[in-house]
Amino acid sequence: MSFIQSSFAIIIIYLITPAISYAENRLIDGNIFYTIPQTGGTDDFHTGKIANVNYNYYFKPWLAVTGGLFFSEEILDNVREDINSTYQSSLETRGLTLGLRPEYKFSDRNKVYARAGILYYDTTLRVSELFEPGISNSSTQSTSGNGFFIGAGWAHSFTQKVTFQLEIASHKQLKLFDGKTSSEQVFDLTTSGFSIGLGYAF
Amino acid sequence: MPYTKSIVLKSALLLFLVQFITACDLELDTNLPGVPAEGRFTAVAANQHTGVSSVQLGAAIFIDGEPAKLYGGDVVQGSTTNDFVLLLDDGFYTGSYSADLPNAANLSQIEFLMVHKPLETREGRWYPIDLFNFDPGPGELVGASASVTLPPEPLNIASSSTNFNSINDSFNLTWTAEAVQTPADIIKVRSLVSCANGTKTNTYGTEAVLVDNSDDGTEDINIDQFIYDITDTEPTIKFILDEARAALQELLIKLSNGEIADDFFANNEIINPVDNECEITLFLFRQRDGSFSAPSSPDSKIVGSRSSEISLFYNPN
Repeated sequence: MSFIQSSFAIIIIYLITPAISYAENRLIDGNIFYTIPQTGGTDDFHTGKIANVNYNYYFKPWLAVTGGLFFSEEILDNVREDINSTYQSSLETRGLTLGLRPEYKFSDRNKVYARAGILYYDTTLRVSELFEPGISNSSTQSTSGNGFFIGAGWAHSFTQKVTFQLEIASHKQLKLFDGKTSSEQVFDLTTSGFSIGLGYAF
Repeated sequence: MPYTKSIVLKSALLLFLVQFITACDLELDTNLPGVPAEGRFTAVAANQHTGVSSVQLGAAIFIDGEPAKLYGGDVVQGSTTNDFVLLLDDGFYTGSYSADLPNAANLSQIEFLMVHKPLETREGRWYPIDLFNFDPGPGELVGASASVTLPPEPLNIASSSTNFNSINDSFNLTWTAEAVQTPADIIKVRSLVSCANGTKTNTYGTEAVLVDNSDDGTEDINIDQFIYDITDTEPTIKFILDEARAALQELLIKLSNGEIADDFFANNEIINPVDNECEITLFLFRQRDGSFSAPSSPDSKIVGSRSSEISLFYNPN
């Protein structure tokens, strides 16, 4: 973990201790994140979904530490063809997040919030190739590492405990396949998009 | 429409590759015409244009009339003694491949070899290709080879006139003849014609019917080999096939990074060349046959050439 990421984690831990008890100072939210992954290369992924579940602990009425996990479906790139084969790549990703969630309540039932922090990913890339009828191959490689995320959203309280939230966010996974391939082929993966979800305060 | 050198060169190679194989039947798809229904058929061309430091290579391979699609790393390699290149780019015709081979030293011997390069043929993919490098093994064509010797560059190409106002006009095309070879090199004259009426532009290609194809340094040619009247039911003009028009469109779109619209050649209003200003880019090819290492269809051909160009202008007004 980098120095910056370590420092961030230490700050979060410092902020949440000593614990200050507020009524309903915990929130669990679950979201479906719609995104088009981008690697900065010639990829052209379809829209995919990443589910995330977060636990938010409010040590101040307007500030929570947030930790969560995420996992995606298999997200497909377009089918392509070159002189070697007809091929299609896809990826699946999962991981953990840790960050802060500041909020601003502008009415009884509505607030806006932001989320930012670090993440740990485990991403699997699959490439399926068709050479000619009867000759094909599918290969899978996994990679893990760190990254960061940032987002902003709006939350609306249906009841005192249940909220609906709409968020735009961007997750960045850094240096995929670092150490496994040449430095020119290492890439970052960005998943930006919007999510909708529900939260439960307790 | 100003044509860049590269547009002209690639168009020239395409016109050349099509013309040395085909008859004049028009077809409406991207299948190379004139391919025999049985056996292995190979068409290979190499051309270096005056003032250009690379050789344009093209290769099309067919088995029993169908394109022999290369896969798994099989690729045609073109080389001189100084450099080599893999023909990775798709040619205009289904089953054809192309590339530019650096040749600043103007070397004449060009070698073609079918090689097996599973990693290099995956370059351009966005993911780490060294981690996903399944190799199905070399195909049956690997090891096949061919060679051609490029003839000398046609020098001092000139026309007795460059401005014309009637399709009945003619001109004398001259160039420095080469010493007689055995077998003799032959001369081909092809054109890229672009006509405009101020709002629309038409382009097409033709091949001039010469008195003879000998390399004698002189040829009388009529303008009606390049400019025609669309109302004429029996034009004497010999068009490059319609595929060449589509190919020119693709080249122009590609080389202009999409600035030229897809309907560049889709003229809703047909321009009659005989009534409008036209620029005629004449390509003079000096060409000679090469040889294959393995038996191919008797119609297979490998041709090497060098070319020059000259521009003529037609304005009937």
